[in-house]
Amino acid sequence: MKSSIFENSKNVFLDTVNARDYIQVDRVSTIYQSLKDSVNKPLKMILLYGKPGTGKSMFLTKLYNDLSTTKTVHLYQTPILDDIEFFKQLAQDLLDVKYQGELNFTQFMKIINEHSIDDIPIVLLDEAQLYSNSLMEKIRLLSDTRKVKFVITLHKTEKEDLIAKEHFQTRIWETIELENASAVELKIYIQKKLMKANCFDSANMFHSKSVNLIYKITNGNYRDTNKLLYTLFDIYNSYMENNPSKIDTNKVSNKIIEMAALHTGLLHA
Amino acid sequence: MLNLHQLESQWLQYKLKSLLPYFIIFISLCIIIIVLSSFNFKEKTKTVEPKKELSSINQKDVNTSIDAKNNRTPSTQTKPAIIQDLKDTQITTSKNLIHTQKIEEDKLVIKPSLDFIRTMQDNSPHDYNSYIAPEVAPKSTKKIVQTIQTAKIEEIVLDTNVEEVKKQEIKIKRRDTQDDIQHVIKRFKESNNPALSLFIAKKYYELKNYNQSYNYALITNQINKDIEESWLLFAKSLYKLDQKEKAIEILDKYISSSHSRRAEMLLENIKSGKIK
Repeated sequence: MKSSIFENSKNVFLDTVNARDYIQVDRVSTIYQSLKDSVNKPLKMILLYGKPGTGKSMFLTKLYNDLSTTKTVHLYQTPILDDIEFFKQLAQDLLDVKYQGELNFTQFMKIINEHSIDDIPIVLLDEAQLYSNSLMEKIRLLSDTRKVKFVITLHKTEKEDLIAKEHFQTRIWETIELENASAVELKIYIQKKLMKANCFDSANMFHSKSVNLIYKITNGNYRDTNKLLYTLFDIYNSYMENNPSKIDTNKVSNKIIEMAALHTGLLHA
Repeated sequence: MLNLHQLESQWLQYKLKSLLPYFIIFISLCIIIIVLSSFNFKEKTKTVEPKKELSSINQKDVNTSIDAKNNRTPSTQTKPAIIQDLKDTQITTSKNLIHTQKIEEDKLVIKPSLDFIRTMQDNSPHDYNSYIAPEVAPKSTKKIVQTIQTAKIEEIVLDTNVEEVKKQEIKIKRRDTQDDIQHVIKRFKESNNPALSLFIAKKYYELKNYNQSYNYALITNQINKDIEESWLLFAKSLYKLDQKEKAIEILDKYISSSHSRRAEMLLENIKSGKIK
């Protein structure tokens, strides 16, 4: 029976971007609320940035889920790298027009300016660092028309900071930075995530000491934590099936945390 | 399915690797502590060695003096002689010391026959003073007290032997002092320590061997010109060797450079002929 608990616990930490898996941690909630407020302001662009695995995509997905009931929101999780394809997709989503032939930026601007839009649509662009500089320039010009509002996410690197400066410095009205979790936040995140999936036994196994070790290994990065905990419960599962006497189900063993870290490459032997 | 066995061995390898720096630190700390403690031990033994040497000399001297008396005098006469010897150089009071009550009192203050040790402590502030450990005295005292007790000295009252004892006492003392000086000269040749040469000079001066005291005072002065005692002893030796003018000249020179009060006093004494 325990084995199935570990199996369920393992699946909780599958690395998927699903708004239902969003975990409310105090600091993150505050940031999310400020993002929501910014969207309601007459801003041209909102920049959401942070290191990989800090929850940018999750934020965007959550925002999409929350706003889609009241506003016109379009989420582009996967970047459309071709300019023509990007404007064709945009025209289809914003104007509800499907273009068969070519649609370049000039044609798209002409169409959108002719179109009267009452409710300004919000376009959420994930992984914006993958868009070319020329396309980013076009997105900037598009936001100047005030016919569309953009929320974009970027990885925080030196290169992306440059992009932010060059393209959006004057247009971006709001920048929100996402950071890794603290040790306390990480404990809340793990326990809330497990309890949300009714894995109460597994949630109780995480004491401060073991969470601190996890924090030390993952540096509070949500993606790394998910990866580590997935492997950790996989190891527990294997022990339960092969050698259950070797494990203590009352608390997470540091040895198994380190074994999981070694297996995932977060630690090196 | 995960390969738990492989993971465990991987974890063991990681754990050993992560503990290695702590292990290295621990081992290095242990080595440092061992090296430091052995170094300290060596230092301690170095400082203790001279004490042992001196104490052995003292013990030896005391024993030899006692043995000598045992060989030369009958058993009834030997005991007061031993007591007399152990009372340092106070030969003039030997008549009174034979009295049993006095013997009892003397037992408590018995010291080795090396009277020069006391002179050294009184007169010179040099290194070798520190070598003469006070704890040496009780050791020899104890031994001698035991000898005296077994001999039942309290019952012996022999006024007739006093003269003989007196003579023997002087002989024994002189011989001890000669031995001591020879031993110290040997040590001085090994170490070239000015404190030792100064000591030799003093002893020769006491023994009225003014040539030798002059030589050793000069040697001491050549090793270290700042030892005031060597200047004074040098001048005193010169005076005793009937070279008063030279002694005054030397002291004048020394006083002009050092302004020593003791040297001034000595100069006055030499000039007035009061020096002993």
